[in-house]
Amino acid sequence: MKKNSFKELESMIIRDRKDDGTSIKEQIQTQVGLFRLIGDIIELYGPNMPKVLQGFISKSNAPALDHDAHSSTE
Amino acid sequence: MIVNLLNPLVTHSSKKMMSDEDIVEQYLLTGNIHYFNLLYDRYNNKVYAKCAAMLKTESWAEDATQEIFIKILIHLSRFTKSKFSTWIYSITYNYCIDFIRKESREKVTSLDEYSHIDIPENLGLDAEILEMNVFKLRKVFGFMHIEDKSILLMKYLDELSIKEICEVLNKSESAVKMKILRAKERFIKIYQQQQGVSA
Repeated sequence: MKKNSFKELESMIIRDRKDDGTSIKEQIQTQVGLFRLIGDIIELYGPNMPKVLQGFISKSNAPALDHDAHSSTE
Repeated sequence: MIVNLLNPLVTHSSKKMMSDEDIVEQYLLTGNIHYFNLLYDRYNNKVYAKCAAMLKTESWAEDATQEIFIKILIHLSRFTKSKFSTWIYSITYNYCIDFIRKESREKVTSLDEYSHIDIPENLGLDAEILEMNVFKLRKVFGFMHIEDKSILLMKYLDELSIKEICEVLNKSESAVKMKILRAKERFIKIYQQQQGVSA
């Protein structure tokens, strides 16, 4: 088999690696879990989002309308 | 396939025999992270080795490996090319090149101007490079430009064809051949300079 210094370099780098890649794998899994959680939240509340926003808007408008009504009676 | 969907963990031995492309397909179908882990186990050391050969420090290489695998995970649905390893290496090389460019703000040089020149593929430097002592190779790599390093790794480590390198770098065939030629020349030049220093 022909010598290939590049393949030897690859083996040497892998051999000298302090971590076997487990910590990176765990960090990726954590990130995947987070992505999925965000995805689930969007999926769960996404369809109701217009109603929720409408509720917020109507609530924020309500005191202003009351205030207008109050000032008009004065 | 039904067995895999119902209980993907049971068929561990069959997973080992699955091709990369089949694993990608299963991951996209089931969303089971264990399929992605299988790809990670197959490629994490190879990706890390490329990053370590191209980047300056081990911690950069570790961080880059993580970023690259997240990128792979996010873009897995876009994988359409026939060979998964070429796709994954393409992401790795391009990530490292971009990383170094951002770090050192290196000027991007286009070699497409050479597209009209007929370039020989091999000038007989291959044997000299491939038979070099691994410690000397590592030392020479330390002095090389990121793009030269990446193209030499593609050619000699991954043994990609000119066509595949064109796909990875999104360059014309003539440009790739010229890049390889220049990288080899600079490699030998640095090697000879180092020999002179150590002599």
